[in-house]
Amino acid sequence: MDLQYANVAVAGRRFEIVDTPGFAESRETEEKYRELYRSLLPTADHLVWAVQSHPRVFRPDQEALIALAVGLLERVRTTVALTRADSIGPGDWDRLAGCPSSGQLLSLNEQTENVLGKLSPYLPSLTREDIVPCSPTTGYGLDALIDRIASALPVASAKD
Amino acid sequence: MDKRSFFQDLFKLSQSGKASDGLRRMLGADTTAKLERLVSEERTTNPPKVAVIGKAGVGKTTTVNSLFSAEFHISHALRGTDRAQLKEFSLRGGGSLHVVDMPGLGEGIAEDAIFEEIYRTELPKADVVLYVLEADERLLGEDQRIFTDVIIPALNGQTKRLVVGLNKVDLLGPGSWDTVLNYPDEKQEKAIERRCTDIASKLARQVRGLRPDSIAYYSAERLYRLEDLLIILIEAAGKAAWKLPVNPRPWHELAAPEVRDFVREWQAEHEEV
Repeated sequence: MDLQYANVAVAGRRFEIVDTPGFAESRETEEKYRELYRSLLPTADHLVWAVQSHPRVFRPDQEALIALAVGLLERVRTTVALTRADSIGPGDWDRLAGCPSSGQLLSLNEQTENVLGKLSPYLPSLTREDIVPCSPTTGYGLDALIDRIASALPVASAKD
Repeated sequence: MDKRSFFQDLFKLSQSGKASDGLRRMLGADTTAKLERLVSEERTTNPPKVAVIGKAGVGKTTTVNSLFSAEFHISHALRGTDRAQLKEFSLRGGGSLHVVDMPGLGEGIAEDAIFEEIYRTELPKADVVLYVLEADERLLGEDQRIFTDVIIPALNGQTKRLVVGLNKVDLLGPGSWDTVLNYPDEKQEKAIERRCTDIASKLARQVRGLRPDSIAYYSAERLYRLEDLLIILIEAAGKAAWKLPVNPRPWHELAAPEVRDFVREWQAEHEEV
């Protein structure tokens, strides 16, 4: 099972990022993965929960939240990253400006509300501001994401 | 009348409700009239029923539209069908085809509770059930759950009427869609093959007897392999098979004009009379 570690420095802050294999690949892998995340979460300062921008299937996320909620999630602040914002309908990404078209902005707003509605019953601390649309391949929204991660780091870790 | 044309005419009768002159001469006027009436009555009173199911967003409605040349409203990308929609198609020979477009599963635990109830009521009534998967989606955990918790129990363990279809193969990588031929390129064909093998092994525990080559891969958007999908549906439909229509939209409609014209000419030359 592959956790991947990376050390990064952004705006003078150094932190470690742990990339995980995710959820819901198959029933066979799910329990092992959850076990892994249960041991990982207490060591984290911030949690980025990534979901794609356009899918409508959230049950696996809900089930994973339920499985991890017990005493773990309320202790770590969470950002929900809506990835692949560039591919959301109507699909007319503004290449020149590197940002969503007006139609895509509407869809992203709608999906933000949708995601909030789907996840907040299982993650009560979640607010609209915690949901950040982004598109890693184009760079859109990544600054907002990094700001949130950086602001969540404890002051003590700024020592080096 | 030779055997071959006898069966061809019988087939035409089953599709259109009209017997040929050859058939009439062979069977006599009374028997022919009786047969025509039986076909029409059966088609009208007992239309075949196809249920199209799967996770939210996999292209169920698009599949129904391409397969039966219909134009039903496609759900907005973010919100789908929220109830079982019975769609009625009039068939040429009278009678109709019923297609049940089901709400997608997996949107959420609360929504599923309602939708799964619909599945439990509708699936036992269907002659054939098409479960649609999306090719460019590697997560099968939710599909495994849907099979185990909902579909297999609703079908009473009988998977003979169940067809697993793999939609959107044109978006699968590596490899890419050849827009001139309206066909996958060689790399993409390999990727599709691997995907079918992977799916068959992941779902083997849920759907007994599922083999890579029993997965009907297609692209509703590109009209690719709709005929193959339809044949697999017909094979699975058992006693209702003869009532299913056989003319999906042809794939070459969407190929480049020169390819399209070439195929049309070739078909015109080779068509059986």
